[in-house]
Amino acid sequence: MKAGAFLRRFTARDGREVIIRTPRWEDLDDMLEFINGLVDEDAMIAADKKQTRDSETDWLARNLSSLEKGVHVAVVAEVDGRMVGSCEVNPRPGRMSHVGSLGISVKDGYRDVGIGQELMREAEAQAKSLGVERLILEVFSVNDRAIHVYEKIGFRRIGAIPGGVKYRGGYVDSVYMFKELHSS
Amino acid sequence: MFRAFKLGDGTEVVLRALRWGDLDDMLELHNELIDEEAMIGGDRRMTRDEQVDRHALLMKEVEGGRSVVVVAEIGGKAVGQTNARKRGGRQSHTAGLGLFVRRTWRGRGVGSELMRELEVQARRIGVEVLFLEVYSVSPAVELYGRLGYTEYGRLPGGIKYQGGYVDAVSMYKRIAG
Repeated sequence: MKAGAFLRRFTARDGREVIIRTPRWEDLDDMLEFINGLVDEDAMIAADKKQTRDSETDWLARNLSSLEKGVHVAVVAEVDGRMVGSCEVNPRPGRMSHVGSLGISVKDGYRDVGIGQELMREAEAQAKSLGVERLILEVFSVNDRAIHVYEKIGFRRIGAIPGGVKYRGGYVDSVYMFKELHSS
Repeated sequence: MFRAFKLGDGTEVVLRALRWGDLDDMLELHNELIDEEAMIGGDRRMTRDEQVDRHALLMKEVEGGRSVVVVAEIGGKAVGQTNARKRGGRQSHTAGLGLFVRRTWRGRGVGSELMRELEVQARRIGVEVLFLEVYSVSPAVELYGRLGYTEYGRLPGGIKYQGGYVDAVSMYKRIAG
């Protein structure tokens, strides 16, 4: 896929118009604000430190390079010209290259209106065309809302590392979920 | 050097940290594993240039306390290694490990000694949980079990091997905390 490619548009459950597209270089500042917002709100993601503009630039350069080379999947959601959500699928190396590791996050204020689900559906379709046959993801065991969404779109739990995550001064489990992608 | 021990036949094995000079032994080890279709993640041979990059990255990670590597040396040659790499952020107390031993030295205790030493070294950089992935059909599943690793998950058909699919078994061990 090329950077900045339009994929489709839909209306979220709260009536907002959402564009699903691949990321582009101009998303840099939105992305920096987005990731640091997640860190600020103590969101249930692995990252717990803010990014600098330099580190985010490195990350975006790698992200867009992988996208252009067709070795990973990246899609974002845009509302009113701003990036409000992102989903990536990174195929594992070697003999597990048919397994894609999925990561997703949606900005505070844009959750629970179906944006995450649409991002995941689109990422799934793109992943299939890269030869990905199975998706895996990790989620904090206390993230009920996310687990519910993942189950709804066909993921099932395959295991958990007890105490695999340190969160808010304690330990929570790191839950692994999996979904088999069927060639349509 | 971390420590030395003797195999059943008296062969002395030295367990030590990774050195820049292990580069070519590590390349030989990797490519031998690929040629014998060993049950590892990789599935293609590496060129020396690729290995140089990989080695440099690993040396850098060890220096920065993000990875630990234990090398098994016999008669001046590195015949095996195990390494663990810390995850990021809220998972940085956990580290994923890999274990690689040259064919002729397998089944003689080199792997389990490497793994024991890895625990010691991993604790030094703050690792509390070690985890790994292994082919469900690998004899290593039994080795890891003996060393105290517990299966915590299984990815159906997670690995493509010799024309078919095998499950990827995930195991973990709490080593501190």
